[in-house]
Amino acid sequence: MISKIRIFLLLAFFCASKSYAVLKVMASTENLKTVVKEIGGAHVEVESYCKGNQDPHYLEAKPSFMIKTHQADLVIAMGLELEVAWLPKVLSGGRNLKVMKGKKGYLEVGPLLDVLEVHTGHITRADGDVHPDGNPHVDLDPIRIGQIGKHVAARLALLDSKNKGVYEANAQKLMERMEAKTKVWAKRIAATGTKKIVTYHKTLTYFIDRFGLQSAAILEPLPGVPPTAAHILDVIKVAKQAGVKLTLVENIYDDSVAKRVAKELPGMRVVKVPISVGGRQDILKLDDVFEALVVAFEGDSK
Amino acid sequence: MSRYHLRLCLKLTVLIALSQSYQLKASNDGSGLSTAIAADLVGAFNLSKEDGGAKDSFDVRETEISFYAPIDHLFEGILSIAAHREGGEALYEVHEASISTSKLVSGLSFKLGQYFLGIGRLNRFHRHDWPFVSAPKVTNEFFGSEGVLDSGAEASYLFPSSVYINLTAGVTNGWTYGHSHNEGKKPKIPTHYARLSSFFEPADLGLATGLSYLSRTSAEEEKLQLIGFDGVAKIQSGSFPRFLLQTEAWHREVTPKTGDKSQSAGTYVYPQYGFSKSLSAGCRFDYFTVLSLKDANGSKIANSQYGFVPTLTYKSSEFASFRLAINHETTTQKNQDTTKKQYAELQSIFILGAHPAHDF
Repeated sequence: MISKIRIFLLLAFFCASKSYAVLKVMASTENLKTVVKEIGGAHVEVESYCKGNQDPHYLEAKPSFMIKTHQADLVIAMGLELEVAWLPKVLSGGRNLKVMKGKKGYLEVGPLLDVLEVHTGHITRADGDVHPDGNPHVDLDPIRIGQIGKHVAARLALLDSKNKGVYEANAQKLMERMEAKTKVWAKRIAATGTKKIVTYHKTLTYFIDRFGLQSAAILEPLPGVPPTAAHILDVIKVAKQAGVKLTLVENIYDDSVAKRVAKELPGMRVVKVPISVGGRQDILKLDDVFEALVVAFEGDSK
Repeated sequence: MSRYHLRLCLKLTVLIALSQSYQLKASNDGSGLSTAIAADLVGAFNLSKEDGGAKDSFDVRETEISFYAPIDHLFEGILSIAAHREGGEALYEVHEASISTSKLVSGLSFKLGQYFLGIGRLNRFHRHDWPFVSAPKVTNEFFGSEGVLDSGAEASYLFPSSVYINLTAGVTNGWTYGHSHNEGKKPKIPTHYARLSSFFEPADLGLATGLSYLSRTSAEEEKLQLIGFDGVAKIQSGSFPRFLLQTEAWHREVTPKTGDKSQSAGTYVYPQYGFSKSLSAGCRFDYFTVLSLKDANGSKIANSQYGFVPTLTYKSSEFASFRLAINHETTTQKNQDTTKKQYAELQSIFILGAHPAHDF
């Protein structure tokens, strides 16, 4: 009987120590969560605050986020003020000394990358919800995803040095896969002949930049401001003049305005595209996000 | 423009200029100082021929200027100064001046200074962040039109469990109770309070609930006891709340040194539907009764005050909102005539500068 108790205690200790070794990570978005999962593998347990069908700009600072933050070893955010409306409240409400800003357990990946649309002039609220430090949607460029993987690996290694080799190897694999696929995706997009697109929000800035595309117009008159009648007329005019044939509406936005615009523009296709893992039921990996965007360009020609 | 308005504009201009110079300085020195200025403009107009109690004028109800920043690597501070219109004068007063931290002990946060007590729902939010124009009858009676503020210390503990359970407890001077402008008197027992809150997330619904308790014994040995429940349910749709249900229910018992204790209770329920990011409509239902009202024979007198307030809100952004509320109030008491009031409230709120993230 005593030996059975010993075995049970040993097993319990083993299980407890094993679960303790796993790093608990909270990522601000599903895309970041997927990167962390790919880099950390079995050594991390990761959840995201924002789901693939939610807008990361306007999340509520829910108490359930605070309890998850309280239990986390690491919080990873995009930064560049993407989460400014809710994450500070979640961090202070979580009262976890390990993941406060400035600690090893808190990482913002956006500022570590080459950021586009950094504003240098005088910005006011009249310009809409502008992110002064640059466009925060860095996760919609496959190459930057690879770079994010490297930063995530470095931070995981800092918190769990014994698995440093695993994290670095996984980050290298992610980087190489994204570089290889980017070449293929670039060729496929180029083959469609589509250069200019309309989008709802400036979400696809990095994707557009990476694949040499042009944003002809944005359906929002200003960042974060819903389309107005006057602006819709402007978009129709610009799209007609530029010969735009494709409007991509990010899955977190309503596509009814885009469809109204398309009625005035013969040949204009409106495609609702996932911008996040989980943004559509079949989008399970980061590769699926980019694949869906490429397929949107290929449309009927595929 | 009246002398009041001139004085108010002058004071506001000085404060804004000051805040901007601080803001500029802050942006240069890396202190992280943020400034928020909120203006709450309200007009109340009678809708019936009888006097509905509204002033039939549109005024600046309140302006508030807040400065907040990390003080150092451990502490944060907030100072907010508000001006109210009282007796034709713009009275400036300190609303909040507190130092707080959540960086000392895991799971624990502390606050020291003057602040709105962390009980109930409305009392924890600035009035310009409420989903309706004016306080419901029950909170107006028990906490005043804005809420109870006092100086003291408050601690909040997040229980280390898989379900969100949070306990907030505090002690304040208690020399006065409510939103008082006099010094008051040293109480026999200072104001002490606690709130136990939790959060549930069935499917897309977020449901926050809280149980609050407050007590104080005044210098005249009058004991005040409040017990309340608050609940908020929200369903988020994309970037805006599609559905909001907010409620509070309170019971108050006042026991004087001599004489009978008085008891009263009330509640409000506010469901709101969001049509879009900009437009929402709701209707608040209010109920209040004095439970201890008795006639000369000691028999209980049935009485109630109830009302409903349909409210329409337009928000061009989180920094500007316009609201129309139609108040219907009815007061009944056994053997007395029922009285009714109807008045409309128009509200405009704008926020300049920063606007910190809100609680759920």
